Amino acid sequence: MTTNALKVTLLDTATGEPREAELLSSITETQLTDVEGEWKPALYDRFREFKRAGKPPAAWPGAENRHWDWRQKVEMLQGLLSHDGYCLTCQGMTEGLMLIDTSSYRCRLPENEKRNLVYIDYVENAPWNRPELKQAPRYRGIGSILVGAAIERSIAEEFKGRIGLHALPQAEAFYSATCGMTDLGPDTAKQGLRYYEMTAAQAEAFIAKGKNR
Amino acid sequence: MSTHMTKEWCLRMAELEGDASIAAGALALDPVFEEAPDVTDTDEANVAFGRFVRLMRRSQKMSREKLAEDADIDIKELIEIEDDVRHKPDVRSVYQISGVFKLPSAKLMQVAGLAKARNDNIERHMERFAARSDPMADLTDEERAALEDFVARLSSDN
Amino acid sequence: MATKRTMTLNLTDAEMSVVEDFSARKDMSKTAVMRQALRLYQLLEARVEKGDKLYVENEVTKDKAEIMMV
Repeated sequence: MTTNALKVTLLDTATGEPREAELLSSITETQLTDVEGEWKPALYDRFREFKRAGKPPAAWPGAENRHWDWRQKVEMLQGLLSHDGYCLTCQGMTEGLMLIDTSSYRCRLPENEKRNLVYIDYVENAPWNRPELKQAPRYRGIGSILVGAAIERSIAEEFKGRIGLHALPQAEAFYSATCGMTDLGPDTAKQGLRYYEMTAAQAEAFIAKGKNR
Repeated sequence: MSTHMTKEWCLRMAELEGDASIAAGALALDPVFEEAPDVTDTDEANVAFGRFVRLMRRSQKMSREKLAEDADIDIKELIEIEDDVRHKPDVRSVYQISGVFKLPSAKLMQVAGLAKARNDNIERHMERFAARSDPMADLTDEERAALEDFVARLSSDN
Repeated sequence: MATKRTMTLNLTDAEMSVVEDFSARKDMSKTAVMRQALRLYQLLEARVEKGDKLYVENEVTKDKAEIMMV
């Protein structure tokens, strides 16, 4: 994987000021260490607070995955042309991560059936940016920048901006409303997560949204 | 990367995005955190962990203040780790301590009872280590040997 | 995007017509088709190297056939 840094901007919610960030087309050991040493402990702290508040495990806002081995997944994909990682860092900390697959998935929308697309295998922001954990996120704009990066990649691969993904329940509103993707319903092959797809026209509209004042 | 993502674009999108969740893909599901196991299990794990931290610290001639500072953890947390067998340490504390002692964090998580051991070996070595060491006395030759043996087990692949 | 390098590819008429056909059907340039093919080839090779077998399944009949990768 080659690393190209792109300067982007996040909104710091504490100050309301723009904050310069970097988008890199790679996931390196630094990110793995951030996930294991910062993200996971931060998430565990939220989990403990949640427990202390006497709430039942079923009420945890994020669904859980028994086979959570981030490092193994990322290492497995190293060196494959079909898969790529992206990360968004701000002030030396990993704030958002994305893994994409440019080969294994095809469009499901009838109008684009079987055309190639960039499939977002995984996208997430750091626990302190997750509103469903009952806190004010530190930064805003991470999702849009990562989706924007996936669209740009899709255009570069001549897939015309077409992308697809399986959204977690708490993120469905973002992908349908803000991103304007088409909801193709729950997918039993992906733990019942709903599948969303973006056409070339929707990708264009998404990018245009950020240009309209 | 050529880009449409100018500063203005990013800020406008941040405004539209608001406080939205963005997680997608099964890998974004949260890990399952094991709740504190039964008290009996926890006791065993933490006898070994607290004792281990204390002996490692002393073998490296570190004060509690120094270790807490190097590991960037609260001194109170360190005291609880070393002295209170029922204390369940923070994942972050264990991770930070593993960094200071240059040991694999995943193994230390198992010793601390925060992760399930993949095989019985760690547990067996933990029991042996706990039996062979006494945290109150000075570090004897036997204790040093027990400590070194345990460190070697933690650093090995299995 | 990473910097790209150029190479000349010598293809037979039959091979070239396959590339052209894909290019037309997928609405992609011939370069994009070849890059996609390489990604897929590497992905499959990696699985086969690991000892996995490669199958195709008929969606209707559920018939499975193994694809031999050499």
